[in-house]
Amino acid sequence: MTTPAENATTIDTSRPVADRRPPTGWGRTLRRLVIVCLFLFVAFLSRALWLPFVAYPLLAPPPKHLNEVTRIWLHTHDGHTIAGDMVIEQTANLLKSHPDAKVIFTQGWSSRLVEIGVIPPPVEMLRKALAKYQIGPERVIHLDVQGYQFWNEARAMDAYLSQHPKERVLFLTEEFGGRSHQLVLRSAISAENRDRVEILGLPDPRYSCHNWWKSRAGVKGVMVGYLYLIHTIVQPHPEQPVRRLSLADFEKAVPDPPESNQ
Amino acid sequence: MKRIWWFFFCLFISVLAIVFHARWLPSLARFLDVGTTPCKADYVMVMGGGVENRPFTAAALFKKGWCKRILISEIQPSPGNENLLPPEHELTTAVLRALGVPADRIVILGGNHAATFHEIDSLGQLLRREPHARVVIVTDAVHTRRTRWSVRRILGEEAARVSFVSAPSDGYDAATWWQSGEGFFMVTSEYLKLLFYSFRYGWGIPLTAAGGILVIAAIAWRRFRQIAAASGRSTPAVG
Repeated sequence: MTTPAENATTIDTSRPVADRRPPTGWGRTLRRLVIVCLFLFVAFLSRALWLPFVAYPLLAPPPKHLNEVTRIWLHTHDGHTIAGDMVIEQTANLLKSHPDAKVIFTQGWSSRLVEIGVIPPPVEMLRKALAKYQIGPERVIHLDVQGYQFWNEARAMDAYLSQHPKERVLFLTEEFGGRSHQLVLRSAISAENRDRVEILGLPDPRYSCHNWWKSRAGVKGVMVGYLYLIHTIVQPHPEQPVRRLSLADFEKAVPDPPESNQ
Repeated sequence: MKRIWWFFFCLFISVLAIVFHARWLPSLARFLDVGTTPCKADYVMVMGGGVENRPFTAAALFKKGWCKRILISEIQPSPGNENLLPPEHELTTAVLRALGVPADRIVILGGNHAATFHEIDSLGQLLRREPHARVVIVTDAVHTRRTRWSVRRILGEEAARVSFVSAPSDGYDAATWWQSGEGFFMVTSEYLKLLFYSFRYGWGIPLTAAGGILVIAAIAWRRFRQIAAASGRSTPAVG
């Protein structure tokens, strides 16, 4: 009767010593280090193959019914810039290829610059910019939004679609903001209207999902996209009304200088 | 067995962090805010990237007599918006003019700046030209730490002539920043940018290299001890 240990010894003696023992100590550590270095080296060399996949989760699915679009939805999230890169040119091209289509414009924020008269309302800027492409102002509809943020804009669009059951909407936004906007739309728009809204992500002229890592702006774009996506997944609709400061709030935030210094 | 305990320990800490998130999350935003009460200065500098709030605070400082002039840095325009809006420094100038700041009290720092670091670099040139000038920098509260880091990095001893005032921001505050998209973006991106700045402009690369060497040394030491222990165990058996 032999013990299991003796059995093992008996079996192992039939093989060469180098095969019998796994590499121990420094040999194993060195082997692991070489494997990690090799992996990193191959990953670096093949970065153009896998880095686009990093950006893919940020993209909305491409629109399936582009030819049936009757409304092109543009919006501003800060009250003075229209979301999407080269959005005016893209909108003008779409309006020319869809002669019956119109633009619907919504505002997710009310700019203080408009309030003090430094810039005109964004819808006026949009009409003026489109006029340079021979697009008449009657083709831009301004949709009123109750409250701020994109979720309220989406609610306003839902109400509009309920009143206009034949319209099909194409929402233009930043390429890397497509998925987070899609999540908000899914949350805010009712099931019967949801399928009539599609998203077209407009790539930045400096980068796209195929080469974002080559420029600082691209890396920043991916970072911004992921931060907004994470927040949207956690909280697709606002929990509380957004704080908006008045002009007086800025005055109040600055104390008066001490008398001795004046 | 040890791994199981580590897992439960991490799980417990995570649950605590989630349950009490309202206690510790505000401190993340407050850490970024190094703004102080204003002091008398020759210039108030408006950092680029916040035309909706920063010029308004700068104008309030000017009107209350905290400064004599307002500095604005020229900002590289975004490629997609050139059809609609003038460059940001022109917008900021227009805001200041609308708020009652005379045109001759507004100074433009030329240079087509694209980042905080570049703006501070231009400020350094101005401070070298005017060796007695004092500057108050106005920016968003969560942006003040990175701005101060850049000022200290670039200006060295001259950084003592620069102070920071936090401009209030729309949409969020330090107590509830994670509840709004804007607040979440501002705070989390500031931490990422601080990390980037430490690598790009600071000691991040040497520190990471030193950390890497320390980790490798620790692994080597552990391995050495394991080998020593194994050979210690096997010696009597051989004998």
